[in-house]
Amino acid sequence: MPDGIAANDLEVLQLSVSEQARMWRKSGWLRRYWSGCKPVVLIMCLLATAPAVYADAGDEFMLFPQVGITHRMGLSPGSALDSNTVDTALSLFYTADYGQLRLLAEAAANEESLEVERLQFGWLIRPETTLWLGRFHSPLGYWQNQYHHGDYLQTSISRPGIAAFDHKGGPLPTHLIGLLLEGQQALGEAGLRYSVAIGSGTELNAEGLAPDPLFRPFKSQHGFAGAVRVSYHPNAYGPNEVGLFAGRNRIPAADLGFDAVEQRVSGAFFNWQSGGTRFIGAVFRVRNTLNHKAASVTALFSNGYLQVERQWAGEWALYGRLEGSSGAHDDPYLNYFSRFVEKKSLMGLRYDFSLHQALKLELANIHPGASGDRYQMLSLQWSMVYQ
Amino acid sequence: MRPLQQILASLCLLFVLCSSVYSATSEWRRLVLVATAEANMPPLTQAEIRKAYLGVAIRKGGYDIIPVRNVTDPLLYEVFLQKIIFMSARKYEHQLTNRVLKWGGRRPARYSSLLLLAKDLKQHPGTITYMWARTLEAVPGTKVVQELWAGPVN
Repeated sequence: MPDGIAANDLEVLQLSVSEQARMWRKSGWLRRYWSGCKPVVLIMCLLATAPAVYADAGDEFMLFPQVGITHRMGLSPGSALDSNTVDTALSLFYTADYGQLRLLAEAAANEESLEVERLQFGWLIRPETTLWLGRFHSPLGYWQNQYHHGDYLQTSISRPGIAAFDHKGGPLPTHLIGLLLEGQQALGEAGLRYSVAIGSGTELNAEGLAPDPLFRPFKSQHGFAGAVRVSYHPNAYGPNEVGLFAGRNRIPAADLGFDAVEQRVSGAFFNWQSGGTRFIGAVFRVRNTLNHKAASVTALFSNGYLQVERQWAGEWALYGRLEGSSGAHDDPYLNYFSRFVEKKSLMGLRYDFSLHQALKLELANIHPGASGDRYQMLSLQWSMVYQ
Repeated sequence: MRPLQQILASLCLLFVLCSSVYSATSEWRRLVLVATAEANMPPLTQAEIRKAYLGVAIRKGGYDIIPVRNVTDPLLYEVFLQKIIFMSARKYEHQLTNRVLKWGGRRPARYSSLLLLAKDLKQHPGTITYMWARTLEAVPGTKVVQELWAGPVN
C-alpha cells in the first residue's frame, strides 16, 4: 500500500458514486437540503457549462434535463406502486479527443441516485474503429445502443421492458466494465457495423441486477459478461439498419442462496425509416440457468417489441408500441424482477416545440409480470438537450 | 371584347403581375464550398461533403477534412441543409447528437461570425465551410473549392 494512504481511505476511494449518494440520502437534513437545492444546482450547471459549450474546444458537453408526471390507474389495493409520481432527472454527457485518444463520460442523476453510467477511454485505431476501456453500455439489441440516459432523443417516454437499464429493474445486464471494440467495414455505399464487448457485469440480489461499481470492477469475483453485435446499413451513414446480437453473462447470486445465473441472450433487431414513417423492432431469446450447489434449473423466455412512429409537419410525431413475452411465467429468474414488463401496449404523441425541447404524452397498458399488477399509465414529459 | 378573351387577358395580366412580384422577392444565388486560399483543396463529391457534415472522418488531397457550420445567415444554413444534407435542421441536430452520444467525437463547429470563421479556415488548412458566393469578398484569405448549388431563394 502506498505511503500516506490508510486502509480506511482506500475503502472510501473504492466506494462508487451511487454508494456515496446512498450514504448522503441516509442523513435526513441533507436529503431535504438536496431536494431544495436541486433546481439551483440545475441552473448553476446550465450557467457553468455555457462557456464550454460555445468555446471552440475539442470537446462536447451536453445536458439532458427532464421532468415527467405519471398517473397510474387500475392499481390493486396492495400495490407497491404510487398512483401519482413526479420524476426529475438530469443526464450529463462529455466527450473529448486528444489525438487518437477519446474520452466519453455520461452521468445520470435523479431523486434517488447519482450514477456514472458510462466512462470510456478510447483508442481510435482507424477513423471508424475504436477500442474502448471502461464502463459502457452492453451492445445487446437496438435500444440501448441507440439511446442512452437522456430521454429527449428517443421518441417515446418509456423504454421497452427488455431494454430497461439493469439498475432500474431490467432483466439483462446493460452496464459492463471491460473492453469494447466498435467499428465499421464499408461495403460500397453500404456498411457493416460491429461491436464486441467483454468484461465484468452485474450481480443478482433480491432487488434485481446490481451493476459492478465503477471503481470496483469484478467485485463479484466470478461475474462475466460478453456480447457481440453486427448490423448491416444499406446506406453506411443512414439510420436504417438490420442486425443480430448474442451475449453470454455469468451473474453471481450468492445473496440469493445459489452460485450464479448462466445467461445466454441472442436476437435480432431493425430500424427502418421511409418518408415520415419509422419502424423499430427487436426480438430477444434469453436462456437462464440458475446454478445451485446441488442442482441447476434452466428456463427460456422470449421477448419482442415493435414500435411505429409517424412524423408530420416536422414537429409532431404519433407513435405506438407493442411488447410481448413468451415463457416468462415459467422462468424462475424473472421472479427477481418485479418491475419487468412482460406485456405492454402504448400510444403517444410527441411535440418538438423548439429545436432542442420536446413534450411527450403517453398512454400505456402494462402487465409487469411477476407482480401480476395490471394497470394503465398516463405520462407527460418535458425533455431537452442543452448543448 | 368577348368574355373568353376578357378572361384570357385577365389571366395574362395576373401571370405578369405574379411573375414580377416573385422576381422582386426571389433572388438568384450561388452556394459555394470554401477553404483557405493557402490550401490546395481538391473538389469533394456531394456524398463526401454530406458524410463530413454527418461526422464521418474524410481524408482527401492530403487533408483531414474538418467541416464547420456557417450560421451567420439562417437562410444560408437552411438552404445548405435542404440541398446538400437533405435534412431539416431538427433531424440534422438529432442525428449529430445521436452520433456523438454513441461514439463520441465532435459535431461540426458553428460560427455566427464571419471573422472567426475566416480565422478558423486559415488556422486549420483542412477546414471547409459553405457560403453565398457574393459574401466571399467579405472573408479575405478564402477561395471557392466548388459550387454546391445555384438557384432562386426567397
